[in-house]
Amino acid sequence: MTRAEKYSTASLITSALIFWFFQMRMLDGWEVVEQSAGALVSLYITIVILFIISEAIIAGFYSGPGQGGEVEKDERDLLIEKTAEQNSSWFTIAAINILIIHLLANSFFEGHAFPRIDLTSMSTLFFVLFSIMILSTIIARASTLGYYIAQRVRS
Amino acid sequence: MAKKTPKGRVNNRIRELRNEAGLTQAALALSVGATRQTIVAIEQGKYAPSLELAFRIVRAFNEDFEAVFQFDPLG
Repeated sequence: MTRAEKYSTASLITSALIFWFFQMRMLDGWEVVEQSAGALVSLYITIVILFIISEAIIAGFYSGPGQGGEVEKDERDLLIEKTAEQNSSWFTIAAINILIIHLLANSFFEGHAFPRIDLTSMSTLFFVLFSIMILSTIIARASTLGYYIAQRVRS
Repeated sequence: MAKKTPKGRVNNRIRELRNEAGLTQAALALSVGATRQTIVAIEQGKYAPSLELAFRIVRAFNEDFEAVFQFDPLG
């Protein structure tokens, strides 16, 4: 495993743990818990700080000597990273489109049978948008690992 | 409808030339500025290097380009 692969693995695990923490703070079963604006701002800042600190620690841990906290990557690593970021972008586009269709369907087909998401509630909207953002990070990391595994060869 | 051009395949003799030169994958990787895993992936045809990296590899062996990389248009 290269340092870049190890970094991606650690980053995927950390992102998944942060997502789990976010779900714990926002959900009661499958229901989004209504929270005050102050509580949401605090949760937002906490999650962003968690991401920044964890990424800095992981990058520092897996950077080579004299790399200044940067994980050493060659052209194959960069290509894999770029393709994974594209997958992440496709996920975000798909998720936003589903939200748009859901919103339109809610107005157009009153009483439809689709699962309803109340996007007029600030807590739910925050939960949905922030979940999409965290999931897009998880998809980027998971895709990166997937490409490494697909190219993994015995030497 | 436009006729689709076959993608083709780039084959290489890196493993053979590396063994002849007595180089390890790690040593070749270091001399061309790539990771050992990238050299392994190129040798096994799982990754096609950029032109820049391909030229660096060719120069590491002091060979002509087509002595190291060959293009198979039907591959």
